[in-house]
Amino acid sequence: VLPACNKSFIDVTPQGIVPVSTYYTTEIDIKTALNGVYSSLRPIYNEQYGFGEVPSDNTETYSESEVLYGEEDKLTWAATSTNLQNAYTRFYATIAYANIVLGHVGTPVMTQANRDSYTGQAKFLRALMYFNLVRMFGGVPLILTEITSEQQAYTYNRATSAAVYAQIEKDLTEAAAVLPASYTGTDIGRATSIAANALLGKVYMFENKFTQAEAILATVSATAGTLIPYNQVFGLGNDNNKDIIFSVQYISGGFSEGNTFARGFVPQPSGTTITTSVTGNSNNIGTADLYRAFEPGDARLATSIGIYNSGTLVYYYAKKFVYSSVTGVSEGDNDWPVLRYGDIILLYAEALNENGKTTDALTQLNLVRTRATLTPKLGLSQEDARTAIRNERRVELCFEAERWFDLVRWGTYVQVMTAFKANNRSANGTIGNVVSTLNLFPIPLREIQLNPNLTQNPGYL
Amino acid sequence: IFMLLTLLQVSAASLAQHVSINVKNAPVKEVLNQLTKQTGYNFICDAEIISSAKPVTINANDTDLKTVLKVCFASETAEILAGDNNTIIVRKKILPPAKPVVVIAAISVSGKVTDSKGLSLPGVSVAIKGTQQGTTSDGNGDYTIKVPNTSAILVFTFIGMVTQEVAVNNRTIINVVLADEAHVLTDVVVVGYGTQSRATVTAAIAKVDGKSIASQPVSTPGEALAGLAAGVQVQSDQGSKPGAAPTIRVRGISSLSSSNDPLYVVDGYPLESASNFNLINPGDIESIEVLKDAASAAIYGSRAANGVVIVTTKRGKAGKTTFSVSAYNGVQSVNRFISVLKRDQYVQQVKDLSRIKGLLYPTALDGDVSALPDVDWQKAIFRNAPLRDFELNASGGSEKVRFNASAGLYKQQGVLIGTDYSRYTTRINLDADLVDKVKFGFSISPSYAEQFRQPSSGQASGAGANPSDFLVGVPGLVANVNLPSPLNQALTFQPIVPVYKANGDIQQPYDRDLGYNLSPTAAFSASNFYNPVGILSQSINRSRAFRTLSSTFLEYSPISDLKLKTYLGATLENEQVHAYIPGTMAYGSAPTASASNPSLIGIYASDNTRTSFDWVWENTATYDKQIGKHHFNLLGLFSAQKYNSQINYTAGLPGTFITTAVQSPLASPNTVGTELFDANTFVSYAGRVTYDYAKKYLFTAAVRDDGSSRFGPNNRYAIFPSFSAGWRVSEEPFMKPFLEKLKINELKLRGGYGRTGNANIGSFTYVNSIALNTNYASGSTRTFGTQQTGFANPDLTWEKNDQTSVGIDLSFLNSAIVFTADYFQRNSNGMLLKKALPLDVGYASSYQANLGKLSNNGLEFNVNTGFNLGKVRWNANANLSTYRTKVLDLGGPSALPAVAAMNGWNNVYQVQVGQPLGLMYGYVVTGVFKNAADLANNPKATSGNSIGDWMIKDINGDGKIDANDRTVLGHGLPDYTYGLTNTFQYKNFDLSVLIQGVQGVSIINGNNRQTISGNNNQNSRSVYYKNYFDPATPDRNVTYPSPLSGAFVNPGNALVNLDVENGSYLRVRNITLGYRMTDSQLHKIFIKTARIYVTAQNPFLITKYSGYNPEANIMGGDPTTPGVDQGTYPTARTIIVGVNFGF
Repeated sequence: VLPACNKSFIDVTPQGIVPVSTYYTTEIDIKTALNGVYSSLRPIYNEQYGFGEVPSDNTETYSESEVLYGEEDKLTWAATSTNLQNAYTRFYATIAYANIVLGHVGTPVMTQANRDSYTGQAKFLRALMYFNLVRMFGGVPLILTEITSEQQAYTYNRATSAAVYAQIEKDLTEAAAVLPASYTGTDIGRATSIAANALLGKVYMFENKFTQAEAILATVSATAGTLIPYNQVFGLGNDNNKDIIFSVQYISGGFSEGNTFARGFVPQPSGTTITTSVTGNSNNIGTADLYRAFEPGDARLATSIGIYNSGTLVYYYAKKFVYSSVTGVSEGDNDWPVLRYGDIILLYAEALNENGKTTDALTQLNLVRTRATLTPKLGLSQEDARTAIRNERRVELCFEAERWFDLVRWGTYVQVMTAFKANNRSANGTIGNVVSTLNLFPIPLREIQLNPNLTQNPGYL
Repeated sequence: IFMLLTLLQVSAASLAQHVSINVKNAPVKEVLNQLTKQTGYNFICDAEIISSAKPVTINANDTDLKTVLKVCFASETAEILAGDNNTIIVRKKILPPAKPVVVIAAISVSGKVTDSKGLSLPGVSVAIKGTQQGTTSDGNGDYTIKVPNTSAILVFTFIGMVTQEVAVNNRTIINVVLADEAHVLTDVVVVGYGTQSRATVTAAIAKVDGKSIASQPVSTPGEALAGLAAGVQVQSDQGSKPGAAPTIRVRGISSLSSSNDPLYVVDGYPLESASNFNLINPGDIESIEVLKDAASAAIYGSRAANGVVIVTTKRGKAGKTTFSVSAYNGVQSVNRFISVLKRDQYVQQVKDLSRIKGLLYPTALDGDVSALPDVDWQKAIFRNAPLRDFELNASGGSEKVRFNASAGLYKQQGVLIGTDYSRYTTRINLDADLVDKVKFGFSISPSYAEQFRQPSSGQASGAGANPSDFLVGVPGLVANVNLPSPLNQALTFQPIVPVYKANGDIQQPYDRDLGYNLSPTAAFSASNFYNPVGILSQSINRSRAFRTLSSTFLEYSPISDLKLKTYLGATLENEQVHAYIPGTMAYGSAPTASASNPSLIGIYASDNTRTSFDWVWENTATYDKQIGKHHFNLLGLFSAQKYNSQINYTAGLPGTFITTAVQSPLASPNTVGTELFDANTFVSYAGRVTYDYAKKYLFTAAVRDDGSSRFGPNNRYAIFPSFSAGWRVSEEPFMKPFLEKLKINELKLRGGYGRTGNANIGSFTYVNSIALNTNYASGSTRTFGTQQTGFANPDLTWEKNDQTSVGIDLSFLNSAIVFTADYFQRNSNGMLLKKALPLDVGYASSYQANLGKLSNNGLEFNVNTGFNLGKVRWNANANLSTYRTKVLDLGGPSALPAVAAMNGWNNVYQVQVGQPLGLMYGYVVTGVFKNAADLANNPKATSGNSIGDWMIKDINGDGKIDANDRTVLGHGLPDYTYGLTNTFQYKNFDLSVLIQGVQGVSIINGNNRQTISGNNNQNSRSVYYKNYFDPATPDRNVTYPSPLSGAFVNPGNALVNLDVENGSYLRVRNITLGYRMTDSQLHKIFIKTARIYVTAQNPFLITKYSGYNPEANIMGGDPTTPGVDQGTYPTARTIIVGVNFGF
């Protein structure tokens, strides 16, 4: 037997394995891979609350869920925290999948319009992930192509925060230029040019680039959506409504492709009274402080917060994301809003106010207040308008994992949490020291141990 | 007149030279031919003598030439002389004038000669002591001889058997059973692709006789290997779970992540899966050889890193066809129980714990509790379970065609309710001499096995169970179900809960109608505790496996000494696994289900079917040549093997079942399924040369070149060389007198080196591929997605083992005592480990690479003896082995991440460079903080301590207790393993006792985590009763902390020294007492041989361990977490009665 025969004899690939070498050759492959990028958003936004809400004054965990986000609740997270490592991993997974699509999208035969759309969507998703990363960790390794060797993996060190933001702006600008403004059929839910612009506006706000923000948010607020009644924005059957600019699409059906909101948001002692088939875990329960932040008569309260009294404790749970008939832990059918019209209007209001256009700002603010059946705010100073807008964001976007990011962006995180700590105690023990270190999360220790060239954020080991 | 048989001449011949020969009814000429090959001597024979010599049957092992020749010419008046130039002359004896023999009143004595198995022995020499008169037994072992008087003594001689003298004493029928010589050093051993005389073997090979395996009533042949061979560690980590295979390790551990199972070779077939070994009917096994060192195993190259277990099944021999029937019947029972509280103490403890913890307890427990149930839950889940085996065997054939056919049936219920195993095996082995120089062989062995499994690992909640206990769903679509371990539950279940309700339903502890309520809305018992009898009697996890192993070969010998052989084998497997949870069973998904109130929501039904086909084609050329004293054996091999498999999974989506009528996924309109494929190929070339000079200087070298599809394109081929050499010091003339003084008849020094590989790394771990089914949605429509997964490593290749081994073989008193010792040093290089990647790679966080180094070194001793103690024949085998592991390299990091012993006890095991495997880390408890002074004067946990907490030893002396105070509490790999087999034979009785044990090992009693929990609504071990800190009696001397203890070390959340027990044990594995019925008894019922026997399997266990089974190991073969027991299956004591009949 000649070696040539052996070579083919031992060159076997079983059915069921799709080697990378034979994939990405048709348009279907590209589109399916792109769906895979979207798919990776599901676990991220199932637990976005762990960083966006739990470390803030909006929500807390209870003793029964201590193991999950206890550290975030008590502000005692560290570089070794599993949650942080998981989040970091998931953000980079989405980035990798997006990079892979971008690396292969040029090859198969397809129309230019489709190629543009796929490219734009991948760039949007990559930008969204870097936006999460840069806000949570600061400057991070900026990876824009598929990593194929171990050696290559170690060539990346932390980019500056500015460099990451620059890349995000670039991706979103390019995406907005080529993406369609809307989709039909089963493409509904994909990233649109409006979503790219809306995200770009939000990014500018986080960079305090209020001029650019105002300009782009003006366009977006004119085209992006409609302020439909607040109780139609969330919950079962309200997917992809007119308030939604971009959301993570969850679906029930027994395939574990739904959300886990019921598990996370339902108080554990409620058993099966709030959700009939899923027992909650009290991971993310609203604080009394949040409850009190609602003005009297706010129509959003009934939609946003449910109250469960266990006899010993009162739970202000995230009713806006929970419906009773959910069939399993990973079977929630409702979507998670990443960008929505109410958010954009308030960002626009904020941009206007920061640019000294307080009257115009209040006009925008009052659009949101009117929907909430609250009286308009009129004739406020820039400073009062700023406070009003900030308070409005807190209640309008409660439980949507924006609060920690906003507080850090405003530079008020330490101040707000210090005050919160003085008046509140975590439902599960004492809150740790509130220090400016907490404005950033640490780079996971595993990464620094693997690659000592990565520097840690100040204040973390 | 003289017939010259061979023409080679070197020097003077010696009739004392030892030879080994095994022929049946062979012409003397053929025997002489074989002797020439072995000795290099020429035989010069009187033509008259050779033409009149009758065919002979000889079974000689290392016997001197003269004895053998005497048998050949026993009925002749021949004279045997040693001539010059390596010649032996056989000529007609010149008889002296015969004296008239006066025969007085000759008596005719007749009888039958059999061996210890009851098989008749033809050709046995029967002589009258002190005379030249004699005869031989015929083909049926019968003889008739005329003796001069009643005081005559008959001498029965047969090569390979112990000579026996029997006084006639007025008897006319004398039946004799001849015992086998102890011949460990004198037999033939099977090596890779051939056989070799034990005398010339240079490697470390353990041989186990098939009858030692068949005589034990166990469900797998592997279990029976325990204690039989030095260096072969057999651990029944799953106790007596029916059909469960033990973990078998040869000379320690070679790999942290790949399989450590040896390669099994059955009749020349290298099995793809170790599990197929366990489907062999133990009764079909002729012998098992374990190639322990790399020098012998390397001929199997890339799959031999963990040793090679060669199984040879019984083949037919020419002669009269024999039939045999054997059967046994028995019962297994659990004879060790864990002491837990009975009702009265339990109720008292509930009250005490409730008082301390400020909790409520049911009012039903106040006052007189004698009317409450008092259930022993261990008795409720165990049963006395029957076991039976029935086998038929036929063997025989002509000179041209020989066969051995068997059929067997083995049925065993488990001692745990709901577990069951049956195995049906058939086998035909056929050998034919087609034409001159061409031999043909064929084997086929279809089998069917059915196993009912139950969860038997992990804790009461189901957490921490071995994944092999799970009900398998559909990967990616329907999650596996890990049911609560009923064994762990039985220990914690409240004795005051009855097994059944009055209406026959299974009683659940949280049922309101039970009356143990705290309030109208709160039940006393935790809601995640389910009646274990309910689970065991209702959940189904059934495997049905059809397997057919078949092989055929054609052997052609174009010139003498050269054999060309082509071998084709195929394995066909089909395994169906069926899982079902009926709507009547209460568990996590349906807590309120019962027979009278079934719940569709809890129904779980899944099926999966694996079909695989494996074929192997091997071609060997063997040239065996004796040139004077030089003996060569050359082997060349080309082999190819291919494996293909497919698994189809089907399940109904949980929650969608609409009927209880069919126990199948079909009961749901929403069935889902998926498929899984596997394939791999091997292609190999190998060569070996074995050389000896005068059987004194021995040398073997082999090399194998393997290629496999399992490895990265850059590293598909590897070469596995080996060398070994031996020196039989006892053959040196200058040593002989000295050794003879010491009564040493054999002294051999041997040693070797070899490299072997571990290919058990799974298929296609080197590729990165596309994961399908990573879907998304658009509103309420699914959209289908893919993600890239894995990280390509084109360099991925075998784990390589380099092993150096030296040994000594010593025989005393004419081989009455045979001693063997071996030392080995084994280094595993390029162990497959996951190498971490920076997380920003995104689609992979690690990849498989050849990184680690691990060493094992060890010693093995083996002694065989055989003595006649008066009329009792005693044979014994004793073995002892020890090995040490040491991690040398982990590819950069100094340690792998620490892993939990089991759910809740984290960071117990950690693989660390420079350390052995299996070290158990945890805290040392020094007492309990009884008062403020204790609290003030002792180091405390950084998170604070209260009175009643455990006092922990401050290992690093820094004045505070934290994770740095963890220390080594034990080790899960044993210091020594040993075995001792004794067999006694007295007249028609035989007795064997097999003892096996392990010394110097620790075991983690993981049940403690639940049985010493301080929970007021669970039962506890008796040792906990009033043995915890109680503020009401603070000065009480106690072992356990306050049930309120919330510090970071308490029974629930950290391993402490109290949970690490001495796992050493001595187990009497098997005692068998047999009686062979006498011919006079048998003649009446037309049976040739009959033996009845009684066996006790696992009758006695001596251990300090408080659990069921000191061999228990929750994660089975995982080398990094040895020695954890939690909810594992107990070992049963089995008593059987059996019969063997020969027709």
